[in-house]
Amino acid sequence: MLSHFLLMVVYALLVSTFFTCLWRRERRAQIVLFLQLFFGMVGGGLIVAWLMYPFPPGPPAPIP
Amino acid sequence: MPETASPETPTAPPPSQDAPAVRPLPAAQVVMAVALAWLVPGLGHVYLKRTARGLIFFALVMISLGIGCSLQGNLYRPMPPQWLTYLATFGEIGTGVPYFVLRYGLHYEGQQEAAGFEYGTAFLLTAGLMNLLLVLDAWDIASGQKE
Repeated sequence: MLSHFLLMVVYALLVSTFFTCLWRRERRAQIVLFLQLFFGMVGGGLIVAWLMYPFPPGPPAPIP
Repeated sequence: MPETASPETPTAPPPSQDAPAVRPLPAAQVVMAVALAWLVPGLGHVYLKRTARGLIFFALVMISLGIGCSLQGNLYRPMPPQWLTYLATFGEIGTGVPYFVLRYGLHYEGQQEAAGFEYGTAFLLTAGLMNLLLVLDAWDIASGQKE
């Protein structure tokens, strides 16, 4: 359950379904919006992760 | 021969086939819908006879809440002088009754050392913010601004 990618996909799934039900009524429009939101979030997350790849990780943040 | 509009011609647009007539409810029912929507996720929509959507919203918010708790996310409380905790607390109290059940019934607080702490906090905050949007949606539906 602690896979970063799995958690990101589950989060995107929940949020996409929520906004699809909130903003659209027709089935076709719902499917289109769901796919846009879901793949936008997952794809956007992967792109941001790829862009951050060259940066050094640095030391772990101290627990306050 | 050009057509001319007669005085008897109706000017109102024809009603949509799939959308029910949108009319505002009395103020008391608007307040009731908003209060129910905040107290229990989706209950405002059930009260407004959007039962299927209300159940879907309830499931989505509770799943998000459950994942957040299983990851030991932070259930915020105001901690002066950290003023951002007030904002985060407001966001999580948006969940309604489940927040208070977790806080005072189950004495849940989260575990900062847990591996999923940050993710869990994101899920808990998202649950609260989703329900705040549902409150606004219930307000719009009840006041006739939305179908």
